[in-house]
Amino acid sequence: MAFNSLQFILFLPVVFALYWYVFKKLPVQNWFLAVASVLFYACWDWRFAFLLVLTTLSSYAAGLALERVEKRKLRAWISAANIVANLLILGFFKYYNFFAESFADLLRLMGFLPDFATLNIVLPVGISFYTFQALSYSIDVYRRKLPATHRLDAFMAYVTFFPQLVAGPIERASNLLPQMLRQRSFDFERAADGCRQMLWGFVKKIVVADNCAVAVDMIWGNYTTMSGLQLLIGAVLFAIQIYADFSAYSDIAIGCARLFGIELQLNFKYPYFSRNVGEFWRRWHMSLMRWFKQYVYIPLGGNRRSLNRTLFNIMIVFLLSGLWHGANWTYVVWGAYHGLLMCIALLMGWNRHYTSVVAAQEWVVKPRELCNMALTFALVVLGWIFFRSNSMAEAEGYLSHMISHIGETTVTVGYRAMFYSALLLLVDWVCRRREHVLRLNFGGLFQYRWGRWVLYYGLVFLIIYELHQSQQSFIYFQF
Amino acid sequence: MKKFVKHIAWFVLPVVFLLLAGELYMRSIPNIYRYKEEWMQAHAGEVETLVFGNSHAFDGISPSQMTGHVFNLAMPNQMLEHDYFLLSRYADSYKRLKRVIVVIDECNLLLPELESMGFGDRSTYYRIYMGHDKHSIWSLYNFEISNLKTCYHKVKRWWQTKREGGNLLGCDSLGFSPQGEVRRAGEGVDVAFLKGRWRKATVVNRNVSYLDKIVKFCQDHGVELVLITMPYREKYYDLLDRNTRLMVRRIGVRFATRPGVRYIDFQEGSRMTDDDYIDNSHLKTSAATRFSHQLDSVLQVQ
Repeated sequence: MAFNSLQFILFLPVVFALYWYVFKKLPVQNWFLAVASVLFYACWDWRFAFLLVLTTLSSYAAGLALERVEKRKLRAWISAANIVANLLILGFFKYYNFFAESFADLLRLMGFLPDFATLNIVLPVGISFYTFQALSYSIDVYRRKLPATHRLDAFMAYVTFFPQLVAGPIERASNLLPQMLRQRSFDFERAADGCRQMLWGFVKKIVVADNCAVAVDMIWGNYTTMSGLQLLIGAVLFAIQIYADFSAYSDIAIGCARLFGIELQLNFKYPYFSRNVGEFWRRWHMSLMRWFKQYVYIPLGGNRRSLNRTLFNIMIVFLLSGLWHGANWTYVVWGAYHGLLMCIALLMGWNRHYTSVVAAQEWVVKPRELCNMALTFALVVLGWIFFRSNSMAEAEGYLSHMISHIGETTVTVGYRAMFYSALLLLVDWVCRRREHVLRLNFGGLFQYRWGRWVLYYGLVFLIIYELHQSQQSFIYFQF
Repeated sequence: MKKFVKHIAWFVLPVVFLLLAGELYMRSIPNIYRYKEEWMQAHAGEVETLVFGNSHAFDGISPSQMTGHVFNLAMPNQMLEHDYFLLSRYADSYKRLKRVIVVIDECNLLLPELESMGFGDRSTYYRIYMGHDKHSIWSLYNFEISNLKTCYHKVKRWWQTKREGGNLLGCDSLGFSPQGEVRRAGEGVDVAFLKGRWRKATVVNRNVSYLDKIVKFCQDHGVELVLITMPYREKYYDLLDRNTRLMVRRIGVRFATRPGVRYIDFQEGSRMTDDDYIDNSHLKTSAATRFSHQLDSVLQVQ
């Protein structure tokens, strides 16, 4: 069940009402959340709901075993077995065909004639997200950073919590699990803010991302017949599309969680106003980056060893991040490209520049910062071309056609998407100091309820006006 | 909690009320989908010939000019998928059906599903008024109001028709849509599409599979199937990719080898002139009348 579906419009109020009015005791509330979440997930494919429950139970059991066992070696074995089991499931569903085909290609290059069968495997929605979330728990318990939970209701609710189940934010156990273990109370302000954040998420998804998707699909599908400028616009529109789409999902997830008295971590912080790639990755898909930092980068040694080792660790993290997104060489190249940019930033000493928001106290940005922002955006857009393309050949074709036809300036597609994209960037710029755009400061007209409601109604009708009957799925569902 | 629920209710109820009222209003406006459905429900047992296809058939074949009890079930952008759905929808009611005419051309063979081309509103009409249950009850295809842009044009046209008079349905009692005699500007269709740049084997195969089902239906019910390709203006041929044109012809010829199926290509030896079209591919009313006579005589002779 997607957030932008009619089912969800009915599902959410029913779950909300039962959660607060009927199931008031904590264990019952948790069980109810877990059942509702599995139901939410089963709407895509009920068979994969079993997989979700299996992943949850295996991590829960691993946690209990890790708590009881004192021998260090045995603990390591239990933890490794759980990690391997989870990664095997993920690997089978997501990467079997990719590795089989790549290995076959390699053997062909070496002169062999391999005969590998590829399987028609359907990828369970959100498998990368909930697998990582379940892993975070067992690793934290293994490291004794978190006590194992004995409460299956809380653990089930933690892994399956429906707002963030399918496309994140990837919650670390240390943040979400304690919230599932304590009695939650309804807070008007928090719930109202959640509704506002959800509203803004829907605006980003339906008004901006879906309009961009139409133009981007058209441009990518016919790139050989388009002008260089049109292809450049196509790449920029995809950058806006993926931002609007993914950050919209995060906004809706965070807002929705607030309705249930739960705080999720921030996932996006206006990433396109970053002044270098390091800052970009501190603002883009923050929950994934935190996960990789905590469970891959730091265990590999982080930046505590030699410079070469640090560069190696960065490359590993970004290659894995690319592969996490999908079983395609385009994602690997995208990850490697960003890894390379991060390494350059580290070597030049730029990686820790700009930790606060751009032009924090001013309305106008300094020319140097503006140049840095433009350059960073251009570099990120270049990476998105690989990310969006279905194959390396398509990415190369798109890029070479764009460069060789850069003198051609005919633009026929995407005016509507460009308008909404520009509007989104403008609104984001004005609101860049806030956690989300509709966290109003209640000044001016917005101090009056009618003033706020006019804005909300305006946004609701904009959403209805821009509704596409063939609703576009969220991009990150495929990961 | 009560305060929150009260706030949400006050905010949401006017929106829900407006949407419901809008939906009811949109459904009260007459449209060809409902008209044709009602006509078929009432007359399917009497009809002898049914015409299917897209706007080329909708604007080009006038049942009143043909022999017997003929009804035009073609509609703008109608795909073979809908042709098959409509043909089989009234299967239990047919008593005298002898012939089915299906227009095949680059549009209904090469174009993907309506939903992926931005014609979702048409799918909505098939869903609401003709019972095409391709989309689940949870989809937005159950609501006209989910496409506000189309609703705006529909309401505008309704009010215009009320004020100035005219035929709101856009078709006569037998389902034919007279387009008048005034020539329109523009090519009438996307040039990149005509050049064959959209051609994808998977899309063509999907469309052909519905043609296959139509053939089987006709054979099972002892009905003659006539596949035709409508005539076009010379300029359209210049724009149309040669391979696309050949592909349409090849498909028609291939199906004509099956028992009970005929294929007539009116692009070869049509009696139309450049002046007979309102754009590059749609016939003027007078030309459609002549063409329908011509089609009828060809069908009677063979």
